[in-house]
This record gives sequence, C-alpha cells and structure tokens, in this order.
Amino acid sequence: MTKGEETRRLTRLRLVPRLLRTSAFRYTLIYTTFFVLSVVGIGYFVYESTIGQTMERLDEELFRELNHLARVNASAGSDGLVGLNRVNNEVNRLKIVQDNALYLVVYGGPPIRILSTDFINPPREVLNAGPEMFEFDYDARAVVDGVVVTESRPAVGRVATFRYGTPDGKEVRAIILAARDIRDIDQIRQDARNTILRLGSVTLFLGLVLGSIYSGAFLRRVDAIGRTVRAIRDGDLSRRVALTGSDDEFDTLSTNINGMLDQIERLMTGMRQVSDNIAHDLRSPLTRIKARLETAMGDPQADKDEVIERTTMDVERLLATFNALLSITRIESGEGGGSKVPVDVAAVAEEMLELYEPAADEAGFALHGHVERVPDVLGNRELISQLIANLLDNALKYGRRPTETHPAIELTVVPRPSGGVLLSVMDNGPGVSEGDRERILQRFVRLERSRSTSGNGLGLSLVAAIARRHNAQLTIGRGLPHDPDARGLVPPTAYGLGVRIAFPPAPEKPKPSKPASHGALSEAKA
Amino acid sequence: MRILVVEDDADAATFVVKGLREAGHAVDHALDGDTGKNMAESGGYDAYVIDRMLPGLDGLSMLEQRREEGDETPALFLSALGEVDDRVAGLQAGGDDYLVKPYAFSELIARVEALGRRRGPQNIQTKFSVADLEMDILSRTVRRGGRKIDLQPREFRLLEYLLRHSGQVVTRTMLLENVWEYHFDPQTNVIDVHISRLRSKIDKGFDKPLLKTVRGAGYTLTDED
Repeated sequence: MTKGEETRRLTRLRLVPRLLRTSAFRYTLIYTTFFVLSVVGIGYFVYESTIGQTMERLDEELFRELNHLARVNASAGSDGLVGLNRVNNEVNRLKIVQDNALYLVVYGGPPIRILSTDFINPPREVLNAGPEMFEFDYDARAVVDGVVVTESRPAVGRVATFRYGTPDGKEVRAIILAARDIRDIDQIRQDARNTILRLGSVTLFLGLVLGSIYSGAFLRRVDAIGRTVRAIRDGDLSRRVALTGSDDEFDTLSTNINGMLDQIERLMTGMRQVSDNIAHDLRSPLTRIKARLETAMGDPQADKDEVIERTTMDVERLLATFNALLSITRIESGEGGGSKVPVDVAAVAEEMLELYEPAADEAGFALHGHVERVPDVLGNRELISQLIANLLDNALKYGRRPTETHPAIELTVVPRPSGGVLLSVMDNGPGVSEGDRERILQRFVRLERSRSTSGNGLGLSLVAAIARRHNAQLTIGRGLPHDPDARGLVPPTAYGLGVRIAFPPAPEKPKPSKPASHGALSEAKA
Repeated sequence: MRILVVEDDADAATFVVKGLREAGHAVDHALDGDTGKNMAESGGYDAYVIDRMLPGLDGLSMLEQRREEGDETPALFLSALGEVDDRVAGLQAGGDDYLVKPYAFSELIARVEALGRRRGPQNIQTKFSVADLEMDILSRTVRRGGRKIDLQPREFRLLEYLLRHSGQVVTRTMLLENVWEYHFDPQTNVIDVHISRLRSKIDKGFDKPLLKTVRGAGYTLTDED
C-alpha cells in the first residue's frame, strides 16, 4: 500500500465517525428513533385491536363450552362413569356442528385411555396445561398436489378435568380438551407482524440513509468553509468561501463571512499602508538627523550648537508625530478619551474661537464664529476641543490661496433638526477635489501642494478618529465660496474646504424632576 | 529645591537626576516604589517626581499611601499612559501634575519648578509684582510704572499665571493646561500669539521687557536679564 492510499483510507475511516458525530446526523437519528417507535406503537395497537380481540373471543367460547360440558357431566349425578359417557357423546355432537372445533377426551392413567380424539397424535401440552387458554401445534392430514401429507397446524385450547369414583373405590381422572384450529388467524397474525417489522426496518433504513446524505452534505459545506478559513489563517487573505447559489442559510453565512473577510482585508491593506507611511515619515527625519550628526562629527569647523538645535527640533517633531499616532490608535481602539459625559459643544467652540482668534488674526485670516445654543452631546470635552483645534489648525495652514486677499474661516455650531449638533469648519481656500476628499482623512496623507508646509498629515486622521469615537458623521465637502458676491452658476472648484461633523443626539436620560412635571401635566389634562 | 525622583528606568533616571541637578536642585533617586516610599517617609522633600509604572509598589499606590499619611508634598507623575482617564487617575491618586512620556526635558524642569511654588501661603496671595509690573487679584487691576493697563479676561488670567510663576520658565502646554484648561498640542502658534498680544500691552513703551521668550522651552516673566 502506498502512502497516499493509506492516507486516503485513513481519511475515509475517520470520515465515518465524523459523519456520525455531526449534529445533522444526530438529529436525524433521534427523529428516526421516534419514527420507528411510533410505527411499532401503531402496529401494536392495530394488532391488539384485531388479532388480540379475536383470540379473546375464542377464549370466551372455549370457556363456555367447557362449562357446558361440566353441566352435562353434573347432570349424571355421582353415578360412576355415566357422566363421562354423556360428556363424550356431547363432544361428538358439538364436533359435527362446528368446523374448526377439535376435541380430545381421555381418562384414567397411567396408562391413559383415549375416549375420543380429533388428533392423529394427542398433543402433549394437554397433560401439563393450566386453567388458561394455551396455544399449541398439532399434526393434521392435508392434501398437497394430490398427495396426503402430515402438516403441523396452530391451535388454541382449554382443558377441563373431571374426577369420578369407580365401583372398586378408586378415583379416575378425565381430561377434556376443547380446541380450535387457528390457521387463518395465525396467518393474519404472521402477516401483521411481518408488516410492522418491514415498516420499522424501512423507516430505520430510510432514516439512516437520509441522515447520512443530509449530514454528508452538511459536512461538505462546513468543510468548505473550514478549508477557506484555514487557508486564510495560514496567510492567503484573498481566499473566499464559494457560494452554491442556492441562497440557503449556508450561502447567507458564507456571504457574511466573505463580507467580514473583505473588511479584514481592507483593514490589513490600510494597516500596511499606514506602516509604510510610518516607515517613510519617521525614517526620513531619522535619516536626516543621522546624516547631520555624522557630518558634524567629521567636521571640526561645524557649528555644534546649530546642529544640536536643529536636531532637537527634528526630534521634537518626531515625538509629536509619534504622540499623534498613538492618540489616534488609542482613540480608535476606544481605549483612550475617557468616559463620555454631556458636553456643551457651543461652549467649547467659543473657547476655541477665543484661543485661535489672535493666531488667525496674525496669519491674516478672518475667523468668524456662528455658534448657537445647542443641546449637549455625549462625549469628551478634551477630544471635542482637540477636534475643533485640529480643524482650525488645518484651515490656518492650508486654507489660503495665493491670490486670496480676504482669507476667511468660519466655525459654525448649530442644532440639527433631528437632534444632536452640527459642527462645521469652512474656509475659502483652494478646497479639495472630490477624488481626494476621502483620502485626506487617512493617516500621513498630505496633498501635493501641502508638502512644503510643516505638518505630519495626522491632523484630519485624528479628527476622523474623534468623530468616529462620538458616533458622529464626518463629511468633507465644499467650504466657503471664493467669491462671496458671485451670482449664477459657480464651478464646484470655486469653493474652499468644508468639514462637517454631525454629532448624534445624546440618549434621553430620565431626570428625577421630569416625571413629576409630566405627572402634573397629565393630571391637569385628565 | 530638594526633589525625590522615583523611576525604575536607570538610564532615564540618570538623565532626569542630572538635568535637575544642573538646574540647581538637590536630587535623590529611588529605583522602586517601596524604596521611594521609605525615602519619602524620612521627609524633607519639596517635590516628588514619580513614574507611574514601578516594580513592586506602583507609583499611584505609593503616592496614595503617602497622602493617607498626611504627606502633602507636591508630586508630578511621569507616565507613558497619556489619555484623559490615565491623567484623571493620576490626579485622583493625589498627583499635582501629570507629564506624558516622551516629554521635552525643559517641560519637566518647568513643571517641577512650578510644583515647588505651589506650596505655601502664596496661594492666597492677592497681589503680585515683578519689577514695576503689579497685579491686584481682588480689584482685577494691572499697573506698570503706576500706569493702568487694560487686559481682556483671558489676558488677565494669562498674566496672573505668569506672575505666580515669575522667574520660572512656563511652557506652552503648561499655559494651555492652566489658563485655558485644555490638554492638547496645538500645531499652530496659538499660545505664542496670545503671549505677543500680552507682551504688547505690558512691555510696549517701557524700557525693560519683562516677558521673555526662552528658546526651545517657553516663556518667563522676570526682570533679570
């Protein structure tokens, strides 16, 4: 046997118990058992109400006949064997009128003398019979294809024993057997038993076969999913669970798994991109530092103070990048950011306006605030302030066109009609083309024209992470129009950048004072 | 100032100890929480600098135990855990300030020195002055050379903080944390602009500038050169 064959054999061997172990097979087995049991139960009921009743009737008939014979016997009084003679005569009379009736009258013994019989060989069971009806087989002559044969036939009988005193003072015992041939009933009985047995077997067989097929199919589907998942675990993230197109629950499960895998793959790709970006964004300044230090080491003329100062600045920028990355990761994982409490976004926005107004002014921007009273949102004041600060930083850094004479930034906080708060920061700068709007939220992504300015490309990523943490909807779109007096059609590129964040309404908290007033209100209504 | 540094990272500790000594302070160093607690019990320190994660007794528990015994020496936590919850935990344990690693060394020195000032009766002080610059907290007036200076409420708070820490270096983050009560690093020069506005009000037109920029660190309000 080659190794491959052996493995295959082993697999097949292992497959059988696996098939038996599947839950599908177990359920089928339980159903099958119940089915077989009910088939047998019904069969038993039918059997009892037909064959059983017939047998009871026969028993009754034989009991009455023997009672009748006892009365005949008693009519002779205590006159020796006269009673036995009368019984014998009565038996012969009865036999003539009844088709299936069989009798045996014996007395004395040992040796026993037969007074009258319908049997070729008197059945032995008679001697040991109790008072109940019993079944026995007897030999009878029959003609088969013109030949006389002896065959065994089934019968039921009851026995009565009479005692007589003989003239010489002894006691003689007589046994009378009244029996019926039950060939026909027995045949029916046999057939019924066979039918029940066959029904049971077929049910069991069908159950097992269907169970195996069902479990096999079940197992194949599960195995297919299992194989895919294993392949993915081993690193092939492009694998997907094949669908059968039957749209059954397995297809639904597979679709869900595939959806999950898509999501994981997207995340992995994102992660890889992020690590590439990190590598790039951290490596370039590190390389710069290393080069500067090496140059300074080899050059005695170098201005050491300047080298140290510039290197310190580089390292500080690196640390800032590193901290920002860490914050994003922690906010995204839900680890940082503290617990959520009701926050007045309008108040935070006012404070941020106050904090940024001088900086904006110095940079030549007009910073407008449009802050209305808004309901509290559930969140973290520090994170929301950081979000606004980053948006304002971003607008100050990138929101100016070289030709713009009146650069402006507008911070708006208004209640949403559906509850919650809408916060937006808009500028009239160069804006961001639609294709780039999703991209600028990603880590380290800096658009070409902003490469020259300082920044780490993490500001908006942090904003996005904070928005997600607050279940807020972030949209990047149009900001302020370049020409506020423009009439008619304005090209979509004639707008700055606008970032809108829609905070969901804080869930209603039952306040102890509220139900009381509600109660008073409903009372007044009543 | 006499400072106790409890830090298990020997390299970082050497660096911190050396830096604080160069800044003119007497520094003792403990490598773990239990030693730190024992040294603190002997008393005589003006400030503690405690790492949050220590072998054995951790930094939070160490300070909590000291606070239970009535030790009110101001303490600054150093920690790699920098989120809001971590900071709150540090302050709840009795910490007076919380500095997240990695930090700029100038930031550490500035904060430790600010801690030392926190003690004593100066907290209920209502009048401050540096050279001819005077502030009266109660009447909310600022004068320089006898001339009244009008300040916005925020500028007043900014100046108050600088005066409370006059002669010391205060960093931008310290200002943002203590004057605006926000904890984050603004990318643009928001604080610098506020400072330069304040400077234009208190220094402009006077011979001697008082509000000075410390390169690479922050600002200081002093009449020394």
